[in-house]
Amino acid sequence: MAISILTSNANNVSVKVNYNQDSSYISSFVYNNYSNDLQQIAGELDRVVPVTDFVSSFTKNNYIVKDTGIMPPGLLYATKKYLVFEKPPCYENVSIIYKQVDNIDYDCDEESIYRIPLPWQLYIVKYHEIKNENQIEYYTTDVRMYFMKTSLMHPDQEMFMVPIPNFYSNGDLCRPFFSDMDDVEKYSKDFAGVIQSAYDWVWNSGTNLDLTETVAKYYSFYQDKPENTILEKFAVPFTHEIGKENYYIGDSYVAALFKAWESIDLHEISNINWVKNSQNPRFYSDFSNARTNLIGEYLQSIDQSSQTHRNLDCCDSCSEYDDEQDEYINSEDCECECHIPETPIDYDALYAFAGVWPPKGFTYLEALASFMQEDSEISHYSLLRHIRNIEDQVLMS
Amino acid sequence: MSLSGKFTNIDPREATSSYLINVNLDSASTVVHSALTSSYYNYPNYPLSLAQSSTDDQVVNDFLGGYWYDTKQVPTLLTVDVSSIFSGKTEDVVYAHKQMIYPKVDPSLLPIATRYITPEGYYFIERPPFQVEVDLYITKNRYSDNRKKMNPYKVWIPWTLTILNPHDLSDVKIMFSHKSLSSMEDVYSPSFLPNSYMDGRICFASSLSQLSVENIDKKDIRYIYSIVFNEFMNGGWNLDLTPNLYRFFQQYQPSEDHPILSKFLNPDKILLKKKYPKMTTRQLENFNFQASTRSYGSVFNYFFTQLSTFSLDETLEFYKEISEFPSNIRYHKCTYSFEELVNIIKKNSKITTVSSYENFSSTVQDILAQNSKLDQSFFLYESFPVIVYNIDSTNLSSSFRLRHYFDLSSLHEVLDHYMNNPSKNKIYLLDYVTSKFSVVDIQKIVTTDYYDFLKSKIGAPYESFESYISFKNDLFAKTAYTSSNSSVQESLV
Repeated sequence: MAISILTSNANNVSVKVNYNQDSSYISSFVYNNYSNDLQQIAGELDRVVPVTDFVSSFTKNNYIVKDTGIMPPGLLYATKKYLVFEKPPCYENVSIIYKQVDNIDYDCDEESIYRIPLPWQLYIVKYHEIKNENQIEYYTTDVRMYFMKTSLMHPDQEMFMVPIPNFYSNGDLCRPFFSDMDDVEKYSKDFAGVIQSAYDWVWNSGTNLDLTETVAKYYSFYQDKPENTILEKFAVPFTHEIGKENYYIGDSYVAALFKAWESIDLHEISNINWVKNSQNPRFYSDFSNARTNLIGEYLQSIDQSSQTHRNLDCCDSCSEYDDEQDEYINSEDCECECHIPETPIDYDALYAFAGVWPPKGFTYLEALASFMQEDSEISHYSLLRHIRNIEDQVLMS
Repeated sequence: MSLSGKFTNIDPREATSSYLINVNLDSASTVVHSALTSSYYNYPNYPLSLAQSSTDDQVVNDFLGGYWYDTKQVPTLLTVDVSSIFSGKTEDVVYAHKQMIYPKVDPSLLPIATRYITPEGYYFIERPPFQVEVDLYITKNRYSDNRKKMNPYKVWIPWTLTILNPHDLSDVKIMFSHKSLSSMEDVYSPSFLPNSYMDGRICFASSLSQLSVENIDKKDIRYIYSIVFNEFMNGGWNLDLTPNLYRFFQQYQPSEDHPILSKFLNPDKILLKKKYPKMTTRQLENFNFQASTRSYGSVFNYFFTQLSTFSLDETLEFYKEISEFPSNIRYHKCTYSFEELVNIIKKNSKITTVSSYENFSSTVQDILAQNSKLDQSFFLYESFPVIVYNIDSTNLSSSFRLRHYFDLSSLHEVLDHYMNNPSKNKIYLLDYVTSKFSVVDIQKIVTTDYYDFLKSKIGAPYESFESYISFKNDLFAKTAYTSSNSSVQESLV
């Protein structure tokens, strides 16, 4: 079955289907950009839309479907679903309640506020369009943030992790809770509103101890080399040791970091060292993936046999089961691979081999691509499913 | 295969053999005609002499920038490109469509102060004040060996707002303001620098044609803006256009409400003498705005001399007071609210849609190249030239006329022939009146016969047919973007 697109714009695809040699069938489909659905909406096509609509749907710069409105300076990238902006070094207040969200009593628990200097910041925002009484309105849906050494000059520029709670270590911000709809609706429904709300999500929504992995990683990465870091500014030198696999860190560490951070001047902040991001939302996942998926390759790389795929079934034939101890007892003459004494694994070397520690981090382009990827992976699956449905419908009609 | 005009319904049975037709005024022809308006005497055999004698030398200024003699007797050259509409397996079509809607991450960055974007693809880019050194040729004859330049005054440029249409680099506006954009009601004046039109459009030198096509294709707005803005601000200006300043101050009377404008019109001679000690007493005595209006050069000399004595604050105040001018002077629009600037684009959006055709084929082919699962047959972009002659050129003096008068049915036989014998090495020569055509093999050694034929039909003053083709291709390459507005017609045939 061959299909020709006759007309199309960003959302609508009108196609002609040849389902046998003698006749053809023209139908119209709606392509939903958000759900990635392709839905048949009409049997016969009685009107051909101007070809210019078809053509313009393929034009890269037509992704923005309405005027952006006046935007603050700093916008770096804008498409129909995403925008990227940067902010220069500045002071911001961080408000934190030293509890996890489930334990917070907003009537009693006090916020601690720190005024910290920030280096250049890069925000990647996903926004959503809603059609409301023929007006298209924009709403912020997801935010990522990174620190940068300078303004973004090049797509391959390095990004750095923000050592503030409620950020995932790949840069994603844990979405804030809103007390009422006004927190969502108070922004203008254009790009300026999206940019302002994204900024407020980060800096004016408060934070807590739900996610502290980024802070833990700042400690563990720089505890042995505090020069040009916030750790160097501690009034009392930091002497504890935070393991690189720690994904949670307590309030005293978070408070100490903010206290030291406050003591840095704005003009100094661009020289402070930051940690690079994880590839997954958490370093914890990076490490787990390395242990699960890459240990075999790692052992091969150091000429050790893989111990992750040991054939435990062999024990049925070469071992005896001890009912009392509830375990297999090896035969003395067993030579199975699974009974070769284990080589202790050097996890530091494994993580280095897997590139998860020290972290590779993201360039700007990689960060943007990884943010967008979450959508496309889901959509590809649903798209294929819908294509099959459409084919079925056409063939059965 | 039946034929129909634009925006008409097509019968489902016809859909399989539908093609996009793009009819262009041939750039080569346009340029040649234009060039010959001033120097046709160098080509005594060129048939324009006939045309001129019959129509009182009336030149029609095509709004797209080309010049055409308004006569029925000038033979006219058109080219016609033909491409097939998308066709392929459902999955591939949808996949490609999706790829285009969700493109790979675009590495290009926007200029740092992009303040507004329209769906038509226009960018409004702001830049804070900065100083430039005046680089203005004041010799009229641009081909003179010893062209003179104005004194390199150093002046402040206020806040600028560049309106960039990346589809068409000849459509760039630079507006001035005393402040950063904060409201749709903010008022802008056109640039007061040389080579600026009253509506803010900039008349660029030909050097812009050197802009990398690759970067334009990628729509690297930061790169394009940087090139375009620097190209203009680095000077090399001339006196081609009426100074906007002259228009603004034609009827202006100094008032107490505008102290800086009063200062501008009443020069402080002591300050001038201090800043420019070489100015003679007579020069100082004669230095006033009224006396400066005798030529474009003296208007700019007055403007830059005065502006060079202004501090940044005074310069911004100067433009603030300009923004308080009435928005129309002598029936001419002179200042614009930001909202008006946006609305002007909306009115012209049709042009952008037409030019998007160019992006279309390149985008599709990019994707085809990146995805091996799709073969070239997925999108049959076929383009072959059809030279059409014997057209009443009265109907071709603007794209509007061409759209309505060009009868696509004359292409019927040519299309049929091409589809049955596709070849990239052919040029069709179509007699518009009789619909008869002949085919020229451009690979074949070009004989005098072909050239003579072409010359007799279109009067092209080329040394040989090869040189015509070479010239034409060269022009297309150079003008593909800057003259995209001459793209006239897409139709379903």
